[in-house]
Amino acid sequence: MQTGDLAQPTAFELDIAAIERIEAVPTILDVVCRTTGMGFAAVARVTEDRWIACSVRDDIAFGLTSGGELKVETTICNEIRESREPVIIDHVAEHPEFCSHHTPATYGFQSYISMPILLPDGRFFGTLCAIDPKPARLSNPETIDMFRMFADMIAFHLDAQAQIERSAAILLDERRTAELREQFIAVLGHDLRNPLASIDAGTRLLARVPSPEKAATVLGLMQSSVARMAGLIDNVLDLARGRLGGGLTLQRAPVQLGPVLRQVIDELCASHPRQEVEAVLELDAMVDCDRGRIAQLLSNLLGNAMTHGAADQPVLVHAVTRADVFELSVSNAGQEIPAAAIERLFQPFARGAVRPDQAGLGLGLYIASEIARAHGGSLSVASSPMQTRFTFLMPLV
Amino acid sequence: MCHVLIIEDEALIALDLQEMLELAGATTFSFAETESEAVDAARQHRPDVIMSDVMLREGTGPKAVELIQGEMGPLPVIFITATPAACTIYDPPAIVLGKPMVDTQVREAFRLVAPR
Repeated sequence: MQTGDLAQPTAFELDIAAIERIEAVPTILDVVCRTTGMGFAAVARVTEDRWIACSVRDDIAFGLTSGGELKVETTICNEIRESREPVIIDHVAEHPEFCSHHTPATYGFQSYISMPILLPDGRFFGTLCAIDPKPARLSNPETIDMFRMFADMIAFHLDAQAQIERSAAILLDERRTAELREQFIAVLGHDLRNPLASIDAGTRLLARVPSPEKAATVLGLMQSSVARMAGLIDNVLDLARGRLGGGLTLQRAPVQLGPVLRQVIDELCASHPRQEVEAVLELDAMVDCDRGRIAQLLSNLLGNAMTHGAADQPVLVHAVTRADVFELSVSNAGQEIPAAAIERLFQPFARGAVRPDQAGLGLGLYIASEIARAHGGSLSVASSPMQTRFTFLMPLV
Repeated sequence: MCHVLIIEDEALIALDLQEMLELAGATTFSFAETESEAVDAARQHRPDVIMSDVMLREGTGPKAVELIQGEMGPLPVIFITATPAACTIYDPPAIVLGKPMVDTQVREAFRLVAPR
């Protein structure tokens, strides 16, 4: 269920794309070159360790194109990143400082201007710069102000783009949260009301003064309704912690899991007396985990297998500690889970995609997968017409 | 004589309904927890009135009622559901009651549709 991030663009690719989206940039570079008579102009992204051209106009065969890189320490832009002040050189040979500077010597230019592009939040993006092998008249207010205005314009566009992206991300997040909230309310309204209605019916039955035997049956059923409600509330709280809060918190300690798992199996067998369960527990090593959460994970998987699996074939539970991994799997015979449902299986309220099931909120597998994740492990499923198997794997450290 | 089919997977609610309806004149009952059980129960003993939950452990009450009415013609139905707002489409003016149930409402609804 892991996806690689090969398709993710790098930060620099994103920066280049952001500059490319500003339609005015080629015109800016064109105007800069024509008004100053310089042959090369560029918008560069400058960081602590890289200088990358985002957009270039090159009439002097300087040889740099968009995406091209210069060693940042060979550029003057690197100094501008620190000073945040423009550097303007009309004629390198006559300049007291830059006549002996390594950058003009390296790149063979006589005139140079570079204006920092400062984003509204104060961050330094890079520079709008131009060079030419011949001297140029740059140290005048018109030229400097033009560069400053263009640099500000580029910064303004970059900031506007970033704001639009942030708004879009917030909107998407809000929409997801709203969807979840809708499902949450719908499911909660139905599922908690059912056991509540049962308890209500039970009180009415008791009020009619039934026989002691019937009263005992009614009380037993009422207690199981109360237990169901408690379970639903626990699940809803886990959802709130996992999805809406900061994730599940674990109380980990090294534990011999055999008795813990055995108890879960015994409890579920007691409530599903007709379903056969075969358990193989090969737990040689202690497992550093939250025992209550691992019990909950097994309970959710086993409960599902008993509810959805074929009743006439045993459910298999297999737990084993190997060299560096703890593996717990639950398998059942019965209908194959359709591929479309598998995609949504570990999402909250997924049950509608499989089969409506009044016993739970459709949170069991979601919570189990959150428990797996919190342990640095994984929960996966393989389903065929023969068998459906859920496997929890967690590294033993 | 009035035979009632109760389609409900909550045992306590089914028992409670039985007692309420006995007081309202129902004489015999069949019980079903799933869609297919409901259809089987109706075939075994044709109900005069159907009391049905909507969401079942397997299948739905409305689907079961549709199948039963398809075989036996129109029969009076009262739906009892935790989500009455989701049950506005059932015809002929199907009675939809919310859960938890109110004793007097259930009996009133039953008297309205039960054969005399």
